[in-house]
This record gives sequence, structure tokens and C-alpha cells, in this order.
Amino acid sequence: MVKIKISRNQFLVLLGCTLVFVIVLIVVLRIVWGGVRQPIAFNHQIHAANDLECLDCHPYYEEQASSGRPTLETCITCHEEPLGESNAERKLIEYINSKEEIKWERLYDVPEDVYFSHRRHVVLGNIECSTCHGDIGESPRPPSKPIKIKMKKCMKCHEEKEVDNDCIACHI
Amino acid sequence: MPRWGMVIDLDKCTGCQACVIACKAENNIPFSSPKEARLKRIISWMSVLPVMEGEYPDLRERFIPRPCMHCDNPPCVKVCPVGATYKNREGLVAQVYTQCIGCRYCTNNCPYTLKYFNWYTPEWPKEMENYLNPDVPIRSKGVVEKCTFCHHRLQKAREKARAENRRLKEGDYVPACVQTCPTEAIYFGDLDDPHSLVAKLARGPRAFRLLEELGTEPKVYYLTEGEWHG
Ligand code: HEC
Ligand code: HEC
Ligand code: HEC
Ligand code: HEC
Ligand code: HEC
Repeated sequence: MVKIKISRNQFLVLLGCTLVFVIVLIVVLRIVWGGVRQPIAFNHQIHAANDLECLDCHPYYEEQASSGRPTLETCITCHEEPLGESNAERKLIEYINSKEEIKWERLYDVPEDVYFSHRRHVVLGNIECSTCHGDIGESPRPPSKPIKIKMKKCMKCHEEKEVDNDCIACHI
Repeated sequence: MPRWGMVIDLDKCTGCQACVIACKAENNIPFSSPKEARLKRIISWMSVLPVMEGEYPDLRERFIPRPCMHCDNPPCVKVCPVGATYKNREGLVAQVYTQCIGCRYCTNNCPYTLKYFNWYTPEWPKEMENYLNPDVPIRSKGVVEKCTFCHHRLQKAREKARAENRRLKEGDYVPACVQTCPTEAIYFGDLDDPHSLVAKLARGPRAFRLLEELGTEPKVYYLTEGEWHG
């Protein structure tokens, strides 16, 4: 049998390296699978302050079920030339130059078998975006985690507003 | 409150199966292989049953398209231990997939054998993946499904009527099979509205229902001239 001899110091170094490796691995895995990392740290606040309406970038909620998210074409109308000096904007311009769509991660997502319509709630129900989305529309950075709107929350408001809570109204 | 029902004119049905295909496309129902057919595991919310009438050499082939009967007195609902299948106020027999535990009591208790268990995770050829209907969820392995009278269409129709500030009118909401039938043999509407076409047809002398003697009170009516020998 071959015996590998290592000194106490070598052992400690090895142990230390392993520990560091494990920690780095955990951190990396958390970043990859844990929270949401948007390709660009998008700042809603700056845009709201510049008099942009939600509808300018989320173009469908008045007519359709989904709100929709902006494509590069929307960003280009203002960002063809840099407006500021931030890293985030520099990244955006790289996307614009390479004509590659930005793949935004989803933050709000109901399961596939649940029917949710923005038109129904925003236009017909007259409900503010912030009732469900909080202050995301004015916040300087995107939330780092997906946000789940629970069935309980949907049903509670429906009860208050005397809207049908039949299971298949939502579970198509 | 409407009570949704269907009328199928068997004298107009040519057995072309367009309704079967329309249903599969609308509701994201995957293709079945010969293996599944052998095991009797084909899922087909609408299926056409061929029936031979008469005696040789005087034979006549008839076809009975069969969606879920949406019984007013549904036997499947009585045996569901978790409330995943129930009859809603508009008479639709509902199936809530997330609630379903896949025990299959309901499939066994349906006298029409029109409830289907998902034995496999559904799959489509790669080319078709972009052509699924986004309005209808894909069911997972282990849950029971069946014809819904395309009630996702009702949800949209109701919202549209609401946006246009009017009530739902006849024809706003029809299932995919009705829309497709080339001979217009399938009618759909509110059975409780005495003026609706379905209500009139269902009251007529040519109307009958399948296994009426069981007392399930199906909301799918069939029309045919003379006696039915099915
Ligand atoms: C300049 C364009 C722009 C404007 C204006 C804008 N948004 Fe956004 N919004 C985005 C972009 C880009 C994302 C994706 C990045 C992110 O999540 O921050 C996003 C994401 C969101 C999301 C999360 C969507 C998801 O993925 O689930 C919500 C909710 C939202 N915006 C609400 C609002 C509201 C409410 C307003 C108006 C007060 C608004 N937005 C105005 C561009 C905009
Ligand atoms: C109507 C014009 C307009 C549109 C459309 C627009 N922006 Fe902006 N954006 C601005 C202005 C104004 C600023 C502020 C520039 C400054 O002062 O640095 C800004 C700043 C930014 C910044 C830098 C923020 C920071 O942290 O400093 C980013 C990133 C950005 N926008 C991304 C986007 C994206 C992505 C889109 C498309 C979804 C978009 N913008 C669409 C006007 C616009
Ligand atoms: C009654 C609650 C509610 C209100 C009010 C509401 N939303 Fe949403 N929003 C949701 C839910 C739930 C989802 C997830 C939908 C899904 O997964 O299909 C969502 C998703 C989104 C998304 C993600 C992408 C998409 O196309 O669906 C955006 C963007 C968004 N909302 C913006 C808005 C804006 C802007 C407003 C106001 C005009 C608004 N929402 C009002 C509940 C709400
Ligand atoms: C803040 C209150 C509120 C919340 C939260 C809310 N809703 Fe609603 N919902 C309404 C109102 C009000 C209506 C009726 C709108 C109208 O007048 O047409 C409605 C209508 C509906 C309808 C149509 C019902 C029918 O009878 O046709 C569906 C489906 C629905 N909501 C799904 C959802 C889902 C899914 C969620 C959670 C993700 C949700 N709602 C959260 C207020 C709410
Ligand atoms: C107003 C809309 C709405 C109605 C009505 C509704 N649901 Fe849900 N349901 C949701 C949403 C949104 C989710 C996903 C979010 C969550 O898991 O809470 C969900 C998730 C679920 C889930 C899976 C998650 C869990 O909590 O286990 C089950 C099971 C479920 N619903 C059963 C039902 C049944 C049974 C009924 C009728 C009594 C019903 N739902 C009525 C909106 C609704």
C-alpha cells in the first residue's frame, strides 16, 4: 500500500483550499439558481422620473391578458446614444449594437393553469398596478427574487369585491 | 345564469373526425402511439364512436361524436375524494388539475368512459412545440382530464363582452368542435334560455340522450330521425 505523507501545514493548506472552494461553489450555485439576476440592473425609478408611463414599456395591459415586456426597439428610441455614464447603460448599448434582445428574467409568474388577465383587472376592475406589484414601478433596482402572488391573495380581494371565486374561473 | 349544453345532429354527422382533431389542437392533447392504443390509454376528449345498424346485408354505419356529457347529476363528482372535479353554477363539470391526485375513481365511475388519465408526460414532435395553444395548460403525468367545453374560451368571451359593456350573447362562446364541424352538426349554447337554438332543439321530437335511464341528466343531446338503435 502506498502511504501519502503530508505535513501538518500542508494538511491545513489543503483543508483551507477545500473550504474556500466549497464556499465559492455555494455562492456561485446560489447566484445561478437562487435569486433572479437580470441581464441589466434596470432602474424603474429613473424612467418614472423621466415621465415614462408603464404603458410605454409594458404595452399590452389595456387590451390583453399579459402586460408584455419591452423589446430593444423601445429602449432604442432614447438610448441610441448614451444618456449617462453608468455601466448598466453601457451594457444596454452593447445589446443595442449587437441587436441581441435582452432576456429579462420573469419576476411574477402564475402557474400555467391559472388564467390571469391584466385587462380584466387594470381596465375593467380599475385596480392600480401597485396593489399587486408594490413599488416595483418606482424602485431603483429590480427585486432579487421572483415574487409569488398566492391564491389566497387573489381570492381575498375577489371576496371583498364580490368577484366569482369558482375554481375554474382561474384554473382553466 | 346560463346552463351550457350541446346538441349533436347525428343525421348530419359524416364521421369525418374534424371535431376530434380540432379538439386535440385546441386543448394541447398529444398524439397517441399504437402502443398507447393497444393499452387503451389514448386521450381524446372528443371521440367518434362508430355504430353498426341493421342486419346484413342491410347495414348502415352511424357515428356518435362524444365529448364529456357535462351531466347535471355527474357520477364522477360523487366519487372524487378531493373536490378536484365538481359541477359549477353554469353546469360545467370542472376538473382542477392542481387539485387532482390521480386516483382515477372518476374515470372508473363515468358511465360514458369519457374521462382520461395521463399515464405519461405529454410530448410533442419538436416542430410542433411552438404551435401549442397558450390559453390551455399542459397537463402533467398523473392527473385526470376531460372535455371542458373549452371553458377557457368562455373566460375570454366574458371578458370581451364586459369590455364592450354588453351581455354575453349567443355565439360569443362556442367550443372548438362546434366551430369546426364542416356540416354544422354540433350546436352549443344556453339550455336555460328558452329562445336559444340548443334549447329548442333539445326540446324537439328528434332529441335523446345517451344512457338516459341512469339519471345522469347529460347536457349533451343527440338528434336523429326515428328510433335510435345504438
Ligand atoms: C423604460 C421602460 C419601463 C417602464 C416605463 C416601466 N417598466 Fe416595468 N419593466 C421594464 C423592464 C425592462 C423590466 C424587466 C427588468 C426588471 O424586472 O426590472 C420591467 C419589469 C417590470 C415588472 C416585473 C415583470 C416580471 O418579470 O414579472 C413589473 C411588475 C413592472 N415592470 C411594472 C411596471 C410598472 C407598474 C410601471 C409603471 C409605474 C413600469 N413597470 C414602467 C421596463 C419598464
Ligand atoms: C423615453 C426615453 C427612454 C426610454 C424609452 C428608455 N430609457 Fe432608459 N433612460 C432614460 C433616461 C432619461 C435615463 C437617465 C439617464 C441619466 O440621467 O443617466 C435612462 C437611464 C437608463 C439606464 C441607466 C440607469 C442607471 O442605473 O444609471 C439604463 C440601464 C436604462 N435607462 C435602460 C433602459 C432600457 C433597458 C430601456 C428599454 C426597456 C430604456 N432604458 C428605455 C430614458 C429612456
Ligand atoms: C390584480 C393584480 C395585478 C395587477 C393590478 C397588475 N398586475 Fe401585473 N401581474 C400580475 C400577475 C398575477 C402576473 C403574473 C402573470 C402571469 O404569470 O401570467 C403579473 C405579471 C406582470 C408582468 C410580467 C409580464 C407579463 O407580460 O405578464 C408585468 C410587466 C406586469 N405584470 C405589469 C403590470 C402593470 C404595468 C400593471 C398596472 C398597469 C399591473 N401589472 C397590474 C398581477 C397584477
Ligand atoms: C386587488 C383585487 C384583486 C386581486 C388581488 C385579484 N383580483 Fe381578480 N378580479 C378582481 C376584480 C375587481 C375583478 C372583476 C373585474 C371586472 O369588473 O370585470 C376580477 C376578476 C377576475 C377574473 C374573472 C372572474 C370571472 O368571473 O370571470 C379572474 C379569472 C381573476 N380575477 C383572476 C385573478 C387571479 C388569478 C388573481 C391572483 C393572481 C387575481 N384575480 C387577483 C380583483 C382582484
Ligand atoms: C382567484 C383565482 C383562483 C381561484 C378562484 C382558485 N385558485 Fe387555486 N390558485 C390560484 C393561483 C394564482 C395559484 C398559484 C399560486 C399559489 O400556489 O398560491 C393557485 C394554486 C392552486 C393549487 C396549487 C397550490 C397549492 O396551494 O397547493 C391548488 C391545489 C389550487 N389552486 C386549487 C384550487 C381549488 C380547488 C379552487 C376552487 C375551490 C381554486 N384553486 C380556486 C388562483 C385561484
